[in-house]
Amino acid sequence: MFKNYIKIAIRNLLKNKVYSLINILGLSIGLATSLLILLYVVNEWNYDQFHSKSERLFRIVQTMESENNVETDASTPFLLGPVLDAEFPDLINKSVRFYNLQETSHTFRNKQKGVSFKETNFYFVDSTFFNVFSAGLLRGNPSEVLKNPGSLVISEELSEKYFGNENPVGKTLNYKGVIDLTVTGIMKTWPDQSHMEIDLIASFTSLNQMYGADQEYDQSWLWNPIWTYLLLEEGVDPADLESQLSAIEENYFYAYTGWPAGEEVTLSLQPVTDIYLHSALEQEMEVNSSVLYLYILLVVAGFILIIACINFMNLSTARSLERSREVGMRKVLGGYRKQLFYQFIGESFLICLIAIVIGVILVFVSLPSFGDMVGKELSLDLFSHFAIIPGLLLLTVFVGLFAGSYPAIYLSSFEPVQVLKGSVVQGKKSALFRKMLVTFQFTLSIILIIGTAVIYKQIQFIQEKDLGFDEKSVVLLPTKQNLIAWEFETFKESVLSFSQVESITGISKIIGSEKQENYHVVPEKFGESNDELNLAFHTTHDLVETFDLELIAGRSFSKDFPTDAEQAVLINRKMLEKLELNTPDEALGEVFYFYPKEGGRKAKSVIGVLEDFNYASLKKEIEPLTISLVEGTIPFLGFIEHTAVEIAPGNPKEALAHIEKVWKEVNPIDPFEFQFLDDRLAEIYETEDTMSALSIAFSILCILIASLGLLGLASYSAQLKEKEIGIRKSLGASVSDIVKLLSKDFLTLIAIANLIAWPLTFIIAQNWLENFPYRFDIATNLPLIFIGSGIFIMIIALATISYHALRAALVNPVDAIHNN
Amino acid sequence: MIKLRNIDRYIDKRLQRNFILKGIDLDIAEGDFVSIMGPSGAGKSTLLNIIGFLDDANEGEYYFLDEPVHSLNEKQKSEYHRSYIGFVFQAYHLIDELTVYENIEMPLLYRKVKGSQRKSMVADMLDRFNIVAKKDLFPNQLSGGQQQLVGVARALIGSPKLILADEPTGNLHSDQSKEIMETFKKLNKEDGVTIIQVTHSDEMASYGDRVINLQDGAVTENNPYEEE
Ligand SMILES: Nc1ncnc2c1ncn2[C@@H]1O[C@H](COP(=O)(O)OP(=O)(O)OP(=O)(O)O)[C@@H](O)[C@H]1O
Ligand SMILES: [Mg+2]
Repeated sequence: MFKNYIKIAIRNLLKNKVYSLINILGLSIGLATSLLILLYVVNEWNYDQFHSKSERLFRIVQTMESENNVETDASTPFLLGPVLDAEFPDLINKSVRFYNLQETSHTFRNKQKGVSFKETNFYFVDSTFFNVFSAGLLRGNPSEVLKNPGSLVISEELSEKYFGNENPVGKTLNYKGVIDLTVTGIMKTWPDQSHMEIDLIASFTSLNQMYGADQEYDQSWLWNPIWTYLLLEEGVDPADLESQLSAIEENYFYAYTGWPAGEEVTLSLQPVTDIYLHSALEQEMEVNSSVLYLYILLVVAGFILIIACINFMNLSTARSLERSREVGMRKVLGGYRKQLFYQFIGESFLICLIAIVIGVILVFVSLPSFGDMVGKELSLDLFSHFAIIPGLLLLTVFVGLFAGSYPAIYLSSFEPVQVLKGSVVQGKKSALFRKMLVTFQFTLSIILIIGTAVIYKQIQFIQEKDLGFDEKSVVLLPTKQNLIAWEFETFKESVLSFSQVESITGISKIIGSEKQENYHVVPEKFGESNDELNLAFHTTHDLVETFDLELIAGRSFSKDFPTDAEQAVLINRKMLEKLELNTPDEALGEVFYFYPKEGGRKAKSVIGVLEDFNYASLKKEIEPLTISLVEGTIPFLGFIEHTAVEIAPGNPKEALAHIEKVWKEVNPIDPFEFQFLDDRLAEIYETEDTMSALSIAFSILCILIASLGLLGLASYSAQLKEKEIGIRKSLGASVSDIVKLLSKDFLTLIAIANLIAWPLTFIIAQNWLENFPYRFDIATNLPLIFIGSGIFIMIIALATISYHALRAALVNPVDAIHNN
Repeated sequence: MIKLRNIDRYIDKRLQRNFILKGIDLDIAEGDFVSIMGPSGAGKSTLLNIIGFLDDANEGEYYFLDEPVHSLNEKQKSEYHRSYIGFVFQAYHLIDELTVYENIEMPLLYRKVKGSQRKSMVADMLDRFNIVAKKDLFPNQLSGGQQQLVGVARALIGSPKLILADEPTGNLHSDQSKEIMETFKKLNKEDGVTIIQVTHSDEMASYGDRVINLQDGAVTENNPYEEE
């Protein structure tokens, strides 16, 4: 019997090649898309799972809360790790600290070979690193390599880069021109699926050499530049440890002499495996992803599969007429209804099986370009995991059941009498159901299209928004704690001597990027007791000129006022509100107290007010800001991390060559590196860019699949109405009349789909946009997007339908009537 | 074998009930060869479908082999189709996607006959109807008469006790019709198979032992068993 079913299934597939193709192709594309999404999601889901002790690994984070500011940092003070080790020896197996000098660029130099590079993924770590994390050591003893001061472990990739084919163990790399680090081990390339990126690690004890052992650089409980990871003892409940952390807050944080009154701190634990998808704190090592995106993608995958399944249902039930005689006869010959149901469900399994084979092939073919798009190296190895092939089969069964159940129930319900009388007409019910399904399909498609348009529009808006400063012509040079600090004025003068260079300044943080720093700054107006953390920005002269900021009152920093560095401050317009002032001019002369790390207090008065500009990314609102002037080598070393150079519009090559020449004269140690500010700012929106590219791709696929289904239905209905069309034509109907006749129903459905999709999408879009403090104006743009998407899908549907409508309309009426 | 009592079959329309069959009383014994005749629209096909469990009466009682049909469930009816009743239709109703061989084999599949036995049974049938050469052809590659032969072979392969044939020769030439009728007669006489056929032709009816005339949904010929 089984053989008989297979035969008849295959013969039916071959008999109606177009429908079979549409069915199988639609399902294949749907399945392939879902599989790609699934691969991506699984990849994201498995971050940091490679650690053999991953379920015992935690990161400790601290929440700081003052009267009007709450901030959770991924980093903690220096001493927290060792203190926790000492206080909870039964709960904590080991702690590991990470420190990168709060810098993202580290120069290493192989003196023998005379090569130097800048590295971003470098940390000083405790010697427990290799006991806690599962990093493969290719050379060296895990418990020894990071023990001694001056030890360095590098990845195999970097070993190649710095030492070529030589064995690097025992050789030295110079770090920042400050200390020599000796390579003690080589580790395997750090896995991509990790929330941290690591290429080089040096022993934590090397910091004594960096700072000098007498410097008490690690004693502050207020400064928190350290990422602290904990490996708990087996069987320890993290909540248990967490509940005991208040003692640490009490005995160490609050007990610290420099602790600001009114500031509350709360320590908590984060499972390491949760960080990548669930953590978006201040001071993250890297920008993490968000689980929300995964949910969105899964929903999209579901949409696409559903749309493909609906094609299957629609085409199967629409063509039920052709199978009805078989059903009737099988029943007459003694087939149970149940057997017929199984036969048809089996056929849909067969089709799904074919579809999934093609789908998997499609996945293999498209995986590299999909990987490029999402910036991941994805791979599908069917045999790499025991569950993959059963999983695919399960998916086949699931889709087969979902897509095949309704057609199977419907088809197996035909009664022999109806067949014998030839009275199996298209049931009104099934036609109505089919219409509902088409409407549903197009509703989903429209939701995706509008969603895509909204995402695209928002990203475009962000990228084109006037940030309040000039980001187009500014070049950034990393100058944190390098030789430029000593010679900044000389460097500046030489760079400016070239006519293409318009202006140059040093800045503490990159304007427009995410990381900005809070300082302890209090307006005098609020009294001395008030403990405020305000955003404080530091710069050298010419900030306003370089970034074309708008001065709305007073003056900018000037060399004519030698006291500016000590006594002057610039504020932004937002600060006016905070100071409860009405006009910018009133702010001039207002006094702010600064509390530097070294202790003491500095009073600075406002000399100028700047129009608001987006000093941080557009993901954050503009807040009250103070800008202080930095002058002299030591303050420069303490605050300035980048040099910004404004270049005249046009070809920047010559100007860059000039800057490089000057750089090499002033700083022969660090390689010359630069980045255009707008490129740097674009990086902030990488996730959104990827999402936008993905959603465009997926909506195209979605429309494609839905249109395939429509094509099938349209061709079927044209076929059914062939005779009617013939008669109408012989009665004088024009081609356009006929096209109208055939398109009317479908277009009505799509119009309904639009009406359903619009309010739904409106709500979703509004919710999504709420995440952005700066968003495009929905009220004026959405009607355009809605109607645009509606018209777009109408046109596609119309094009799909008219192909068949036209063909039907152009057939010679005599033939059509005759054929029937 | 078949006992119909006061069978009504009607279609309800708005404000009106249309009777297709009204008050049918009919007895057919095992081994009968009955022809149902009557004008078009008289309800012949409907009656045959009711007898073959393909349609249900609205009123009245129907006993098949003393079993009350109205209380059979769908599965039990299918069991009867598998082992007691064979159908032959005017329009043949072969399955287009199956070959001659596979069409004939189909009832055996539902009866779960073993493969080797199935083979020999189908081979016998092909032999008997002289269509061995056509066994791998599809229905649309056959003439009407040949298709009907396949239809008859399909009905016979399950060795049914009852054959229901609705105008089996309606689309055939007289030679082909005769061939089929001879087959029926032989089955009836030699194997004792009960046969009920619907026909418009007196010639075809003459192969049977008994004629039932149907007029406007009622039997006009006297029922020879009624007095008993
Ligand atoms: N589902 C139905 N709805 C309405 N009327 C029906 C239905 N089925 C049958 N009829 C009517 O019942 C009557 C009997 O139909 P039936 O097919 O039994 O006639 P018949 O005697 O077999 O005719 P013919 O010799 O033309 O085959 C016809 O008038 C037909 O129109
Ligand atoms: Mg009839």
